[in-house]
Amino acid sequence: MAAITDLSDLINRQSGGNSGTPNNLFYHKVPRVAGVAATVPVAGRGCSLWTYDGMPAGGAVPTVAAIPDRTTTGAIPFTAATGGRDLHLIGASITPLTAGVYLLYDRLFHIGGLAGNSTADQTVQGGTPTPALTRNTGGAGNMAWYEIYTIVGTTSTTLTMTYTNQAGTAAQTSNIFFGATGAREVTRAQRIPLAAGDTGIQAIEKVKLTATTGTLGNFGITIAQPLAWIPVGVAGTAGWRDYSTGLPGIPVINPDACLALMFIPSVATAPEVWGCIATVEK
Amino acid sequence: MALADFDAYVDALRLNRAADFQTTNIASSFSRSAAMWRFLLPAPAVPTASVALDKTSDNAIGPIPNATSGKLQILGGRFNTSGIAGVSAVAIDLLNVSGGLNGTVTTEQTTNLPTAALTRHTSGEGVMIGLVIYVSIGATATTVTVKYTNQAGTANRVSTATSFGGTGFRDVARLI
Repeated sequence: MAAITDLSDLINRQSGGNSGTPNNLFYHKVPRVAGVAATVPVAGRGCSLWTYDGMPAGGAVPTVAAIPDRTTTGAIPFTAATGGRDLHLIGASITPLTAGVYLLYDRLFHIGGLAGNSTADQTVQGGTPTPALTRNTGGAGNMAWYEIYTIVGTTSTTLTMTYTNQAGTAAQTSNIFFGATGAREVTRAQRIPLAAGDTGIQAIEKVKLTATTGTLGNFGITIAQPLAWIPVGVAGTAGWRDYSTGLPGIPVINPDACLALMFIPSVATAPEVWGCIATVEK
Repeated sequence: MALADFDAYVDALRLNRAADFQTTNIASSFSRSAAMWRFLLPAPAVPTASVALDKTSDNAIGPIPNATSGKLQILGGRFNTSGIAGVSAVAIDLLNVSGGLNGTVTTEQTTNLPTAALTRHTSGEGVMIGLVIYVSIGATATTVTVKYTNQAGTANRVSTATSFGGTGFRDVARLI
């Protein structure tokens, strides 16, 4: 991987020099899912925009464990770098109807069809990860969240995740609340903490609910590599991350990355989103 | 032509090749997209046919300087607004506009459609569709779908239904 040398190198590539292939990829999302008004999110709680309509079209609810990539419906499309070059993310912006903090991420793995009323072990990737991650396989920085696809029950319980950490240590466990108001609504995406000392995920073997929420519903588990947190303080204004001048540097986008969005809203309003990611190759 | 380095970038800034423009008060709904080009001065006409636009159109920000060689690079943009605390604007290449559609009809409408052939970005890759309200439509919220040809040349693709009419989706210049 070749690093951007300096500001002159960046400017040269941004303006099309040296096979920089600059690109501004615009996308938009509307607060509708499969043509129907989206469920109102919960202020201060994570919400997935994976299934939101727009350009790109909304992603499907996963029915089996799968590795989505840039060709999967729902992914923000981009052209992978060629000629042995990498694709560098140099800027990301979002202008939404709803203020909050937006996350641009690479959706590494997802599964749906899990039950909100089962207290048995529910397989995610299994003891021998199937399918195993194909991107950021070392696991460092990967995060997991549960994602509600059909509303689960009103009884609050605990979800325990069994996973392999970034060091390859299997059978690590952690847990998070699940079910009841604020943790049951469609599109709700709740990040699952990791065990003390862990900094990432290579695989998730299974999840298990301590008690039933009272409703089958449909939920899933998503593994993501965060790329950009984009804060938007006021609805209608642009949140902007300029990687050429600010931390955390200039991320490289995997050529197969499934770029997607989740967000934490300031208010309970489903967002309409305009966004853009800017890239150059080196 | 690419900018060689930081010094070349600064040199380009010094050329001060700006395209200044002004608008009248922009009718908008809070946090909803508005077709800003509708308010340029002088005001562009409401389209009565499907028109492939270029830099000479009354819908375009102008004057855009001619490039003697290579191509123009956007080095920056600035908006001075009044009467509003914050705003976001997207600079776009407006490829085509048409008008004359009806907000009370539930059958397929083809007035001024299909659109005139694109003259730029003809592959369609990355091209977006917007519905622009030229005269207010009704207060009843409904949905609209659009039939289009996608970037692969596949015709008769139908968009998912999206909001149309009702509060925030009916006013003049609303971009859906």
